[in-house]
This record gives sequence, structure tokens and C-alpha cells, in this order.
Amino acid sequence: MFTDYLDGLERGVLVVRECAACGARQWPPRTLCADCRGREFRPAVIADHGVVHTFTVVHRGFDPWFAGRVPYGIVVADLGDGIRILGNYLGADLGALACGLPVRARYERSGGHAFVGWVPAGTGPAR
Amino acid sequence: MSGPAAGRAQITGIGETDYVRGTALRTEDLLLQAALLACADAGVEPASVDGVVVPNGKLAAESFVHALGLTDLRFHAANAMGGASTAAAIMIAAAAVISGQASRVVVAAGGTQYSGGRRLSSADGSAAAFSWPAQDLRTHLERPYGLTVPMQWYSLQATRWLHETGADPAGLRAVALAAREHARSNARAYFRDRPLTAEQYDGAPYVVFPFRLYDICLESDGAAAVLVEPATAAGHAGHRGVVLLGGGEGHADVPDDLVSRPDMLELGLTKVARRVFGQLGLTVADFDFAQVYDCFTFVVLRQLEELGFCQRGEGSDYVLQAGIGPGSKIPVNTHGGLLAQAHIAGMNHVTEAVRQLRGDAGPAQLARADLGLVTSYGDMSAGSLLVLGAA
Repeated sequence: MFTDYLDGLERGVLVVRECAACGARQWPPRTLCADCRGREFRPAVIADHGVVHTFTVVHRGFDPWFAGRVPYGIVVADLGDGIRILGNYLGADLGALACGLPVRARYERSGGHAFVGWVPAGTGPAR
Repeated sequence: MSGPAAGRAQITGIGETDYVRGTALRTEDLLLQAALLACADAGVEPASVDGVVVPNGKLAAESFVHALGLTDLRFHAANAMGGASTAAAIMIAAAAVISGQASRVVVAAGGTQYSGGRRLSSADGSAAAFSWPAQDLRTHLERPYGLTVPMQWYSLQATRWLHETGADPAGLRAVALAAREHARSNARAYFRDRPLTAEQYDGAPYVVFPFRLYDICLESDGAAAVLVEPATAAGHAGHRGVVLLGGGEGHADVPDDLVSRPDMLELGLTKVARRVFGQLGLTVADFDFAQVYDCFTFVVLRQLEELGFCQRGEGSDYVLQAGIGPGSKIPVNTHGGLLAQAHIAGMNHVTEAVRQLRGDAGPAQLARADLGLVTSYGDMSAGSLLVLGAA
């Protein structure tokens, strides 16, 4: 169910799901369409900018990988159409994080995997 | 309030192990010990228990058969709502005895959260071994970004709450301080002799913004249990009876994912409180106390709001003005709660409510304790609720 999304991150795009029967957008991936109970979906690329719906700043590592990266920010970006996607905050200043802040995606690769992160809109190239 | 006993259940016994941080005992030892203590408190033979409910399935019902000497186990159940499982499990036990499927059901919760090797506060990644709802969402969309433990999920709600409602963050501190004040009257409380000052609270570091160290509950070793019987059953041990007047569980919209929940602030309690209070014709003003699941101070504020103590966004104003500490109109967590007594999966909220209603709460005993409220809270803000009355 997550293959299209994860492949999209490799290419630097955000891919959600669209019900093949009724066309409703679906995110996160679920077995059935919430609108028509359809079970077939096709990938749909969405615009990768929005606003910070909420965030947190983590000061303690709860995992060996992240223990060496504190403090780090986690952003829930609201992309409209009921779609929210979580990623790390990749802006320069954690203190700039605020609900409502316009952000856009920045794609990263690490350890053989692709990730989406969020930076303030208007900063730097996407990848 | 009173009503016909038929169709209701009562709590006839409570049991609590020592509440510690550091034990050689296993979860199984603790749960069985608490179950035996609940039987002893009720004055019944453990072998006469015929039902077992274990929140989150921490122990197989078969283990109780051996340990308690059960000869006719007729009913067992486990549920899975994280911390919200406890009150919900008691409602399962109540349903079993009201329907006649069983007559004496033990519900036991707790474990070796501190010593068991999978601490939610640790840096060893062991939190990932817990069984969260919608594991595939956690695996693909959250864990890769360093979101792995409940305090992080709820911090996302807290940030949104502060933004959306303009709530006063000082309410978080007020909850932390009140818990320590209550703990001073409770012999079982880990922080009994360690009051917290506002300066100490403010001086503690952020762990996960906006939660500072003392916004976060204890991790403990211990277990607690209750014995549930039909309200028509005779009392056994000379205790004042405690009747389960109502309760239930609630699940927010998109119950397994906070991130995509349309109203991120919605709780399971939002639904169940409205439903149960409506059924019983009650409002929060009718209660003499409330034992509110307090894994984090923020979670207390939000539950007070959804219970109707105040409007959404006013939880801080309520605790700062009306207060929830000793001597307040409706004291909250008279035992110190998960923040200052111990984290016994919220079953310690139930045992404390029973003590209060029996008049057995020692130095913490309230002058008036006829009607009490208990909440449990867990996973992605699932909720459950008990309304308990002195018989």
C-alpha cells in the first residue's frame, strides 16, 4: 500500500492514492475507499507545499539513530484536501517553527532510503 | 445517586502490589499477586472467581486458572486500547456479570514498565517493539522521522491546542504541581516526600516540546486488580459497596491516526463522556472527585475540557482558578496519579476511587465521596470512563 508513496519520495514527488472507482483522494493508505468502499487505487501526485498544521521539537532520543540528532523538529504539514504528511523540519532555525508557517517539501536520502522533510516556503531547492 | 441493583455491577474487592521502580518480579507475578489481593480484600476464595479480563492481554487467562485454583473459568477477555483499556476492561467484566456469563470476574492491570526492559523513555529503540494501532502507518510514515513514543504523538496535539484555542501553557505546570500535592497524602506515592515547586518545574528541560520533564508520568513496576460482581451479590468483607453506575469506551474519528484526524484535538472521551453523562443524567458538577488518566499533564487538561469541566481551550483556566488539588471543589487524582504515585495502567485510579467511596482513603479521604469518576486514556487518544457510586 505504501509502495507508490515510497517510490515517489525517491523521485522527489508526493504520491497519494486515488480511488479507481470514485476518484476520491485517500491518505494515508487504507484497504477500502472511505467514500465508496472501492478497493482499487491509482497513484496521484499532489502539490508538495502547504502549511504547518502542528509540530513538536524532540529533545530526547528514543532510538539510537535519533539520539545523536536531538534537538530535531517534526512537522505535520497540511497540504489541503484533507491530506497531512509528517516529516522532519529541515529549516535552519527550529525557533522559526510555528503553526500556520508556509512550508514546502525537501527530499533527502539517507541510509539507502528516501525521506520527505519540510522547509519554510521560499527557501532553497527541493533536493 | 441510587437505583435498582439489578442490571448493574459492583466492585467488591481491590488489590494492589507494592508500587516501585525496580523489581525482580515479572509482570505475571505482579498481576497474579494483585488478583489474589483483590480476592482477599473482598473476602472470597480465589477459586470462586469464574471470569478474567486482562487489559491489553498482558497475561493469558490460563495463568489465572493455575494461580488462583479456578475450577470453572467461564469468561475471559482482553482488549487493546493502550492506557484506555483499563476502565473499558472493567466495563467488559460488568457486562459479563450482568448478562450472567460469569459471576465473579477479576480484572488485573500493570506490569514491569520500569524494570521489564522496554521503557518508553529509553534511548534504546525498544518503544518500537510495542504494538501500536495501525502499525504500518507507524512504520512507514512516523518512525522514519523519529516519532516513536506516545509523548511525541500527544505533543503534536498540544502544540495544535495551544495554537488553535490560545490556551495558557501554565495549566500544564498547575497539573504537575497538584499531582505532587495530592501525593503527600498517599503512602504508596513515589513522590510522597518530594513536593514540586514552580521553579523546579520551570527549570526542568523540555523533553518533547511543549512537554517538560515533569509533564511526563512515572514509569513503574506494580499491578492492581479489582473484583467485579453483580450488584445483587451480597457484600463479603464488611466494606461499603461500590456500584458501577455506568461507563463505556469511546474512539475518536480516525482512531488509529492523529496526523490525519480531521479534528486533531478530538478524543475518544469526547464521545463516551457525552453518551454516559446523558444516559445517567449527570454533569461533572455532580461528582465529588475525578481520577483522570494522567500520562501527561496536557492529557489531563484536555480530558477535563471534554468531560465538561470547562470549554475546549479553557482547561488551563479551570485548573488555575478552580484548582484540582487538595481542598478544591472537585479534586482530581487524590492518590497522585500516574504523575506522582505510580503508572499502574490507570488501575490505581480505579482502586483510589473505590477507597474514596468506601471511606478508606486514609489521609487523602475526602469529606464527601459519594459519586466518583474515573477515566482511562491511551493509544491515539482512545478513551474510557467509569461512573462509580457509594452503595
